[in-house]
Amino acid sequence: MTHLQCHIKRAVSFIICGIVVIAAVIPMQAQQRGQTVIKGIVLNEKGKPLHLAHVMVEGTSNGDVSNREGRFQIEMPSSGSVVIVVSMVGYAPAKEEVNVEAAKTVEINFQLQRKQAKLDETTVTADAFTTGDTEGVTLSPTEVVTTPGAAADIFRSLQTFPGVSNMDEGSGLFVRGGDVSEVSFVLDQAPVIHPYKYERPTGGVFGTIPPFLVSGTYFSTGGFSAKYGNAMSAVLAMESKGMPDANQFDANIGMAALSAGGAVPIVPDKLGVRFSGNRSLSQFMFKVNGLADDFEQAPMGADGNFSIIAKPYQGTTIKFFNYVNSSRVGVPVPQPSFDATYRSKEQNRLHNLQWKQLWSNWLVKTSASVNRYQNDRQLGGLDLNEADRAYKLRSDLEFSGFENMIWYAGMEWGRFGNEFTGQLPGDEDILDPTADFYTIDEQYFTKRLGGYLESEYQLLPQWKLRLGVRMDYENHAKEWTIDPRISLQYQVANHSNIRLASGRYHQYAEPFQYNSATGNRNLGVQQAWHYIAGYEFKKSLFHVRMEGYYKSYDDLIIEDEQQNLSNTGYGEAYGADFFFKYSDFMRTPFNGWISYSFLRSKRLHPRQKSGSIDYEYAPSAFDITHNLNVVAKARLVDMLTGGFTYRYSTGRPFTPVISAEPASGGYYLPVEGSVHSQRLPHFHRLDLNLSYYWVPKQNWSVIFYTSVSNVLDRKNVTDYTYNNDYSQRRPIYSDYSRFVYAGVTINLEL
Amino acid sequence: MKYLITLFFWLLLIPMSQQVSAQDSTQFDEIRQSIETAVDSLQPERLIGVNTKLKTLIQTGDPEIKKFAYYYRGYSNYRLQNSFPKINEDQQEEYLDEATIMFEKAVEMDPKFAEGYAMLGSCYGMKASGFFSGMKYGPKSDNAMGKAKELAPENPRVVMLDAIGKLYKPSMFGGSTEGAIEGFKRAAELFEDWQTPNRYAPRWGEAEVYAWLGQGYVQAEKYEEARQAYEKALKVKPGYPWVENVLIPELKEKSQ
Repeated sequence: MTHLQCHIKRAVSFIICGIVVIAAVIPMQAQQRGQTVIKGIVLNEKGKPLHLAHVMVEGTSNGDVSNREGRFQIEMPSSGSVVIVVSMVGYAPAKEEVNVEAAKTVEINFQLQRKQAKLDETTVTADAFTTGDTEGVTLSPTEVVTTPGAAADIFRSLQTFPGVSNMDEGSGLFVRGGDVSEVSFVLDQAPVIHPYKYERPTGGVFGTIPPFLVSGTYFSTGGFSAKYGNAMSAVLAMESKGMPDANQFDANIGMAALSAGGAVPIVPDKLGVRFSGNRSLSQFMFKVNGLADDFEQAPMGADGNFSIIAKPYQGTTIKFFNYVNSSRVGVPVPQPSFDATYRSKEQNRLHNLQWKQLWSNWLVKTSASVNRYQNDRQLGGLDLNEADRAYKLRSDLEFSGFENMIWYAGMEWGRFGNEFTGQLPGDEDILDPTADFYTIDEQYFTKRLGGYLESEYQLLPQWKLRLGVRMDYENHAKEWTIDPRISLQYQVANHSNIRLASGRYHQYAEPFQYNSATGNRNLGVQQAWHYIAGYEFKKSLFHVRMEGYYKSYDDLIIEDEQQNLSNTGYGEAYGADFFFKYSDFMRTPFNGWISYSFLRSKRLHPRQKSGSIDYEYAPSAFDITHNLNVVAKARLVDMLTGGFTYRYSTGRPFTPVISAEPASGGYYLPVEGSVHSQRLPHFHRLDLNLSYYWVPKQNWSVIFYTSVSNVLDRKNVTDYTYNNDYSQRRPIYSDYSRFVYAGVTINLEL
Repeated sequence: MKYLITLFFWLLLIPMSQQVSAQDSTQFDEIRQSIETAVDSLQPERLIGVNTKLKTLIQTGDPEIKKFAYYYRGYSNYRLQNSFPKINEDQQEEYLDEATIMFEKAVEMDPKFAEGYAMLGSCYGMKASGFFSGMKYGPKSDNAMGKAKELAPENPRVVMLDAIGKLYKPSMFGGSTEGAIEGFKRAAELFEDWQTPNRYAPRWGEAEVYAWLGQGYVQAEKYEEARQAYEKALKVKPGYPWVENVLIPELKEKSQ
């Protein structure tokens, strides 16, 4: 055999061997391809087939997409253990390990669960109402300012929600049988110690913070998270506007106010400013409405805001918010023995430096703030200057690095002060300038330290749990308080859930209440427990909420015969709230909401009786049994919209004067009947408004608006006054008779 | 000798790296083609498959590839949202949300990515369907579209997407049928001379712009112009199913 023949023979042998091997392998592979299969069905959480779910063998590009019946089929090139991953937009992915044997079919079915919305406190705590431009808010900013009768005031808009009682026609937030002082107001982590303008015992006429400065609010009427301390009833947390994204300017000319503002991005996405100024001059408005005589000095005021927002680095936001307002009013207040005028001058300043830092899954918010409030009140011989201060440092941390869990923690330190100067009457009921008065010059301070830790778990796809604990310390009360808070939410179906919440809530005395002359240095901390059960349904245009609650109060500060004040008060409140909302403003030709609240509230009341104090457990001053609000808005023609708000509430309780005893100097001292044993007449009010939106060019808008408050001119009774010897009483009617207001707002984007 | 070996390896690496880039480029070409084929054939399953391939491309370290992977993931979701009427509305919303997230990520990676801003503006525009959502998403849409126009005023897709926005927006937010028609015409002109700036960049829209122009004319009740626009679309992309099977029958129905 030649060398060449040998080579040929080897080559032929090699080819034949190769053909034999290939001939043997190809059918084997073909057999495997034909028979080794993973197949099954992908279902949704309701057990219905899911179309377009992607099913894939992990670590390979081998996969399939489910058909209309939810079926998929993957042919496997080899046997062994593999992991099958199923994914679909809007659903949480699922994976499962399967063992496939050659030439066999494995069946495996998957049931995907809908991805849960990001956990946040509005979903997991008990009832809360939100405004802003994020998803799921209860009211958009437009709805706040277009709510008839709300006078573009955040607080007045919130009054149309369930759980808030119509005590009078002011903007005071009396929540679920609690006093107006039991609500905590926060703006960008800073406390707002005097949240009302034109203050009075039932709150004030308007909220201090105008809605145009606020991008969103969170209003919880109970069962709120451990983030918030020193509040027994409710929390209103507001967030000021952030970085402007365009040059925006607005101006408003109304019958009682002129205002202008703007937002300028100096370095786009890096540095911006917001500013606004408002001057209220109500003299003209009251004159038009025939009410000028009701005031010795018609309410007037001015406010200004200047904020700088900087984003120097990725994830860093620094906001310096400054707000100042001042106001004055003079109202004739006829007294049994003299004609007097109540005069008040207020100034409120808030400065807050906030730093927000986002690092991957960490969000840290830190704020340093100063809130200063000054008020000068005069009535008869009374001349009281009050200056309150709040200095606060607060830091909140949020960590969302774990799946289905978010952690929250925070600390706050604050120094709060009350300063009083001026002259006060010897007998608080006698304000006649000729009576006895004494001068005061007093200052009181307290310091508080608080911290919290809270976590939210997605226990199961349908269950969410929020667990928190809060600790607070105050230098006068000298005791640590520990407040556990818990909320549980069960997702009944896609659009409805049930919520349970409970927690303890503490609130300290005001600094001046620790004075030894009229207060008590040893006052302790007041506390309340909340127990809440609720149901919510939200789908498409409909939103329904129902909630039942019970609140118990203990250690409330009340008058004490021996110690001036003591923590011997107690009370309770229970009731039910109902809220139904249809659609959003201008989304449909008609939208609106109805809220109804039922409430019973009782407290221990001290009663002065000839040198001693008796106590009576009776309905609280805020025991408004039935509250009803109906708000409706409609697009009438083109961009002309109209709406009304109707408010009804049971008359508030008052303590009647049943007789009087003569005192020296021809004065009489009243003798009162049982505490809150009578009620004022029921409260009714109907407000209308009409707005026309005109868009002269893109991103420019002009809104013409007019409103008629108390259309039916209902004379609501706010209180009773008595003659000199208290033998006759006559009602004091609300200042809010039928009232017309009109104006125009211009918004420009340049 | 050591230097020679090093040089040898370098010489080996150069064609290898070119091969990798060429592979990515080819992959993007395939993806582009797959998306268009899936849309034309009304087979959403194919789009889902494309999306999965893109998920793996997002894992790459090359920021340019990553950016375009986000873009194409957004684009396939965008198509799933608006090109398959059989997908239910809830699911369409999910795809729109996913598309928005993807385009947001794309522009976050490259703040000068005009094509990404234009798509993001279009997504926000679709979310601004009512007055309330218009108040929220309208300015966002304007802002994103504004950035796209500022960065690439001559990009035909940017001009076309802006015109689509004009066609659907309420007049109070800047919508105008006439403005939209002008925009489509300009986009069509720009497409004629448009050179794709790099191998990954999107190439869709040349036939679609005529489909949109036709719809603009339908809205303005100019049916003859609409017919001509659809014919032009079919000339650019023969057998274009959307035009042939959906838009032309609709036009016939309306013009009768």
